[in-house]
Amino acid sequence: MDCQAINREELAEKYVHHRLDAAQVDEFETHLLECPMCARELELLQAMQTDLAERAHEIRGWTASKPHFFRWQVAVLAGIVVVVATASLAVRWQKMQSASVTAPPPPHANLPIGETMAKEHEANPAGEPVKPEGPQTLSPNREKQVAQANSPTQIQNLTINPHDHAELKRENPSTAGQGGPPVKPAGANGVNSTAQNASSSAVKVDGGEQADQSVNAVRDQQQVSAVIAQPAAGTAKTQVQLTAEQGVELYRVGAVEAPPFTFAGFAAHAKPPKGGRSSTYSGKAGAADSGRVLFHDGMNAYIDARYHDASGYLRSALKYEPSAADVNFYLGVCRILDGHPAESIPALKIAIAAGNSPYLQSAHYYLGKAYVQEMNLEGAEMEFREATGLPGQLSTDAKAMLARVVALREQIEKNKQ
Amino acid sequence: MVTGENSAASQSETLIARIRSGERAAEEELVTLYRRPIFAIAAARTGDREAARDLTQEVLIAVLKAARNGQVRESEKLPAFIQGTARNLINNYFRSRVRRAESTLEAAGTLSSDPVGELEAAERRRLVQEELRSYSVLDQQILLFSLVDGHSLVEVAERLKMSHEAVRARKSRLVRKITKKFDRLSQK
Repeated sequence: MDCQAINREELAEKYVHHRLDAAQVDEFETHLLECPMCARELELLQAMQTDLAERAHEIRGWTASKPHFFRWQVAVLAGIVVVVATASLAVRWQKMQSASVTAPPPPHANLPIGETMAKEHEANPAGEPVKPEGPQTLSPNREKQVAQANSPTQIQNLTINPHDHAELKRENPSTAGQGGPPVKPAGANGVNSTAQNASSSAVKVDGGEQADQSVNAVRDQQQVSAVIAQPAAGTAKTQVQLTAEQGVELYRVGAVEAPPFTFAGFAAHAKPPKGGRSSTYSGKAGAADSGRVLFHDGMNAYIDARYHDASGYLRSALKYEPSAADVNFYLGVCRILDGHPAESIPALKIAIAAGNSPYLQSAHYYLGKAYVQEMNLEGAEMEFREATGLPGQLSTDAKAMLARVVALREQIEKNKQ
Repeated sequence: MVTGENSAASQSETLIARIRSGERAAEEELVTLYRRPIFAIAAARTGDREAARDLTQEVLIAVLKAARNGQVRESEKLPAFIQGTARNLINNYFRSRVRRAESTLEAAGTLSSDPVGELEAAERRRLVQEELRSYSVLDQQILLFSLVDGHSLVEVAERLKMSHEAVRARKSRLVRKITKKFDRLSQK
């Protein structure tokens, strides 16, 4: 064995990864004792390994920055944007100044915003769009008031003039429970956020004439348009009516928390068997080793709440271990948490098919959640029922979810009638 | 190369002969010559620096003992003898997982501590860390995936969505760069 062959065949790397057979190991080690240069290279490799392994979690979490040549371009672009934005603001401010000097103030300019809009409503009860009459149609003061009215309470006070109200609803969709096009609460995105958020941003209701009432009161009275999947019919979907309250409940039932994961008893990479003799170790990392490494990386990303990245790693791990319960289970969970519940279903079904694994109950439970988010309440009921009957920590939760899904289904049936 | 090997073999023979004749300096020479590679071997095999330190000492003591008692038969093959001793002791360590009792060999006192060597090793590690941290994110990821995780360059390329050739070139450049720097440091 000579230094050139060692470099050419990367034998030092293979040696530290236990990928040489016993004879090669003996030969390599004997060479190390004869050749200080190769010994130094091995030391260097070990020092690099130690430092990289200590910071592995950190390094894996990094996102590679753009190539260097982009950086100055980005800086220049940012500078241009800032200059243009500043110039346009200055021009706008000058225009507003000149308008307030040349034109008389609007009739209600000095009133509080609620009163102002009430007066406008009196003047224009039908809510017809007011044609601009010169620069004073929307005075700077009024514009500022409208722009500042972003909190729900302010907006509730501003709901006198339907025209303005519509504008404000566009400004702040989170309080726009009384207008806008109906949107199906498909639940794919935003289900993981709080129920309040989900109820306000993802569910929009039809109708909405009683604009001056509180948002919650109006929600209770109005109907939510929802698409409910019919599992028996495969992909066929039926339009059913839900009350806003039912819509909110649906989102609450579908909300998912990431199940915990610990690395207990987990080997980061392939190691030789006990006894340390390389002769019994084939040297090459097998499929299971590669799968485990990818699973490990996926779970690192999962712990960091990078569910999209985790899904990528877990999908790669599936190439090596297509029926592994743990890989499929966490892939399913990641797809739900990443806002793709439909994609979680096949993975969770494989995790269930794996049989009596530690993930069996959890897989049923999260499959139920995925079905809820997919509006397949019948499927959800079945899965929660299965989870209830299995041993595990989720029995109580599954029972509660089952009761809520059953209640929801009953209410939906009533709605249909 | 043959001449070099012959010269190394004759050096080994001389060293063993000096040790056998009771020359203390020759023992120290052997320890200085082989301590680092033995430690590197033990660390690679055990993955445990503490255990590797103890095992290095055990190997050196065993070799010195054998040399003193004339048990090194083919003294020109001293490196092979040391390698065999190291392999056996490391395998014993794996089998027992119990640290051996301290040897009563007289030379143990001189072997047990090498503060200068330890300091130098720590400094080398620090410099390697510093050098690695100066590399870009992508470079560090390439090294992590290949050197720590043990992925092939094809797998690394796939994970980083790069071409195999680009990964190979980058890795080889990085290893060359750090080796060059490390060599300079080692020669200081």
